[in-house]
Amino acid sequence: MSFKTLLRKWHTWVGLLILCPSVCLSLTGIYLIESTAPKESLIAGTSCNDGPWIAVSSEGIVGDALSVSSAPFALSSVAAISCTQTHIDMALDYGPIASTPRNQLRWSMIPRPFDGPIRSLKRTDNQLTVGTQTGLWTFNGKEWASIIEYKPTLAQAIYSLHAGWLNGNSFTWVWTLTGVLWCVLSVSGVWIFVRMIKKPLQKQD
Amino acid sequence: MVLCTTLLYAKSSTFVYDTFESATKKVFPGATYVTKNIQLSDTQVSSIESRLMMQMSTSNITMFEFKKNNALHGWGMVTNYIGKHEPITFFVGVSPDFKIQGIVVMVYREDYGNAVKKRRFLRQFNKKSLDDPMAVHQDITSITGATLSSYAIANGARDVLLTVSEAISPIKTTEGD
Repeated sequence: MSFKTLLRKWHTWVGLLILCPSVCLSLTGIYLIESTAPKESLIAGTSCNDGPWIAVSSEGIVGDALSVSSAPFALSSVAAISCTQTHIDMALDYGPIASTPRNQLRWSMIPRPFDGPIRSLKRTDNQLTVGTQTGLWTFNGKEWASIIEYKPTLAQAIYSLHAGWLNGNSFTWVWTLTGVLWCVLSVSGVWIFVRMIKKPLQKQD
Repeated sequence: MVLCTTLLYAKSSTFVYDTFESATKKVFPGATYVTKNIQLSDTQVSSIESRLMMQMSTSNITMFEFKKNNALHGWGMVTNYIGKHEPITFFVGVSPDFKIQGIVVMVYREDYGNAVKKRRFLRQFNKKSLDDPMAVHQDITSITGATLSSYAIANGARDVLLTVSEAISPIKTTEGD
């Protein structure tokens, strides 16, 4: 079997190998876009320090403390909730902290100076304590202070490196390029496969 | 190694896409503007906040009135809303019939999510009025990978539309009298 034939075979099988998951993902992706969002899934929840409870679900904010169908932030991003007699606070994963007085629904966004997913959120009087993967922070209503902070891991440093490339669009660019190359390879693979059926390999050897 | 180190520290995360002048020209081409500083009353602030479900950062607003050949073309405001960690600065234009005339992202300060500056996202807001929910997952489709920024733009657009409506309506009534 010549090198050309081997190359053609390799191209055919790699093309098919890529085409099958691509088609599968495309079809299931279309189904996901067209289908409705999952119902009755719980995102986060807690009990207030004075008794009532509050939760964020796919249906909105539910509970004795507050019940509304929508909020001016992505409810699906809520990572942790704190509920006191005076305030309800919701930490958005990778985002700001949404805070509102309990007696009057007026959300305000508190930006945070640290990155990473939120693990815990607690309000004591007017002080918020936020826990992340690498540290514990407090916010007194005006400024943030670090209680404890670990050095970022190598993975987090690499993440920062990636985030800085191509104006922060390296991820998008790489995947777009990969997607285009996959499509080209799939199409050429199928084309070679069709040609191979018409002209069996044995004849070329 | 040197290249990697350079890339690591050469991270620039503030992108200035438009100045105020260029942003206004995109929304109100050929129009001139006058600046109006307006102090909103407590009632107006309360009305805006209750409909917005958000706290206003200030009751002292700066608004721009756009005219072309002495005819009113609309109003506009520059607003800042927090996306992920940093505020996004954008201009929102409102037409004389209190509909969104156009939105232009002026400054974006984060690494991810700047796709909200694209026309295909921003044009969803055009012609939206106070009767529209103007909310992500309702009549606005968010951008994948820029969900927080999409919410910030939607909140800011609703904020400006409500603020302009509240601020202008009493003025119009007074002028009519």
